[in-house]
Amino acid sequence: MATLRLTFSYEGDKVTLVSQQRVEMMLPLSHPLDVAEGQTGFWYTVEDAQKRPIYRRVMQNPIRHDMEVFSEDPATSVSRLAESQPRGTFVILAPEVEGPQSVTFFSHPLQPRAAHLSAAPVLRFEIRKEDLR
Amino acid sequence: MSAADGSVLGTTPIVFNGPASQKWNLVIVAEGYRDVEISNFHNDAQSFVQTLFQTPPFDGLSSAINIYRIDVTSTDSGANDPVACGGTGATPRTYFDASFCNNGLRRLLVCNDATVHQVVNAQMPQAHMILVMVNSTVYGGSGGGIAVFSLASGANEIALHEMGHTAFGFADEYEYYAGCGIDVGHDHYSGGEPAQPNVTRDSNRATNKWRDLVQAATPMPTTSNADCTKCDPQPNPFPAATVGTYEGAFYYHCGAYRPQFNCRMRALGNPYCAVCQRVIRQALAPYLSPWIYNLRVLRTHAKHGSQMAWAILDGTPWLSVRPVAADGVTNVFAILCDALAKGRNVDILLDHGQISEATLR
Repeated sequence: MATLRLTFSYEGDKVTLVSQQRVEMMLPLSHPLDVAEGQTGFWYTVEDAQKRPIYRRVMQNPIRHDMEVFSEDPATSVSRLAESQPRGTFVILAPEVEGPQSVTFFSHPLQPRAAHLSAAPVLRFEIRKEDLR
Repeated sequence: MSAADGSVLGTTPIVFNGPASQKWNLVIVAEGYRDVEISNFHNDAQSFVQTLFQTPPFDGLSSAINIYRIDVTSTDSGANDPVACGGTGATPRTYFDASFCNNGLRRLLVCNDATVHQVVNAQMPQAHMILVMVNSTVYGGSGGGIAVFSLASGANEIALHEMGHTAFGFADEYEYYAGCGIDVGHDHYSGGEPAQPNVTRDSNRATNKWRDLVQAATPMPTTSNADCTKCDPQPNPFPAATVGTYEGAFYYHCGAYRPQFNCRMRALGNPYCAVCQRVIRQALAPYLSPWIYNLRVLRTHAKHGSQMAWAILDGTPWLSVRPVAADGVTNVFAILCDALAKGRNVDILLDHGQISEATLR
């Protein structure tokens, strides 16, 4: 099973799949597919042609509506700051499966100070195999 | 200031434990190094490698990891350092447009992550984690899809903290958002169970997700915050290594718990807590095998009058045969040469980056 390297860009809440590469590499292990109701955090799932989730990875929300700020003061060496103009690029890795497949991102509402809100599907992308490099 | 202000020279493995297809690949990208300074980047990257492999649990996982250096030169040195944030006003022309003073904070050092991903996707698409090392001694960095950090003393910690987020999915364990005494609305965590492995709202000994690491004598919750309107000021009442549930985590003063009093995901300069270390070990376990399978031998080389012999295999740099004993070098080298002559593949065992065993397939 090949690994797909999927590159996304975002500006505000608009997220675009900008490139798809087929790569020979070892995919990180999937996290458990079962998700308890009301769970918070950020993760993505990969679905097969039957829309069944086959892979899930929990990660830090890469769509940055706030940023981590570092200080040399040991009392507050890390803190967070709302991002005024969310914009950036990120990559996820996904297994390639036979036939159509999709990727779904689960997150709290894409806004700062929302880590306590339940994650729900916020974005879904069909992987177009003909666009694979 | 853009990718026109420099060039990508190429990619070099600086820690090689097997083909990129079989290992966990960390990529370190140069930013703000002029052509004549690129050897400084080689040294700076090597210095980070030493730090990483002295950091538990990576110190015991080195055979799972390849580290690649992408040499990128810039027209000028350093990063933008605006006067508005107390900086020097420097505006060097650099490949990834690194700049301090984002959102008005001098320490917030970011670069053009789209360009970084373009370069890495082209140079090393097997990357699992990307670090951008900025040639500046001003303290700063940032996280997200990539980790950016400067050469300032202690800035390596930024890279290690951000690796925790990006590569291993850790949550922040600090109990505030903007800072203790600053936040409003961060008194009590009211959400569901976090998906991240290192924070929880569950302090029940029977159901907590890291309960197997909690000793029977450790109270649960291990600490409680007596005043949820502020960060808990109490010092750690237990030995530092005690795993339990310490109240105050995930940006909230109360209602969310962290596994140890301190962790690199709570404050820089601390070790990863036991829960984070275990997650890293579990994540890298599939990449640990020292045996590399089914490689084609491309070239061999031996030096007259010594025990030294080398080979290049598919996807590897020059690898030396481990010179433990003369007959061992001879036997392993003979297998490699035989494979090359017959066009057959080999399995090899790598020990400290050297071929110590080989099997003809």
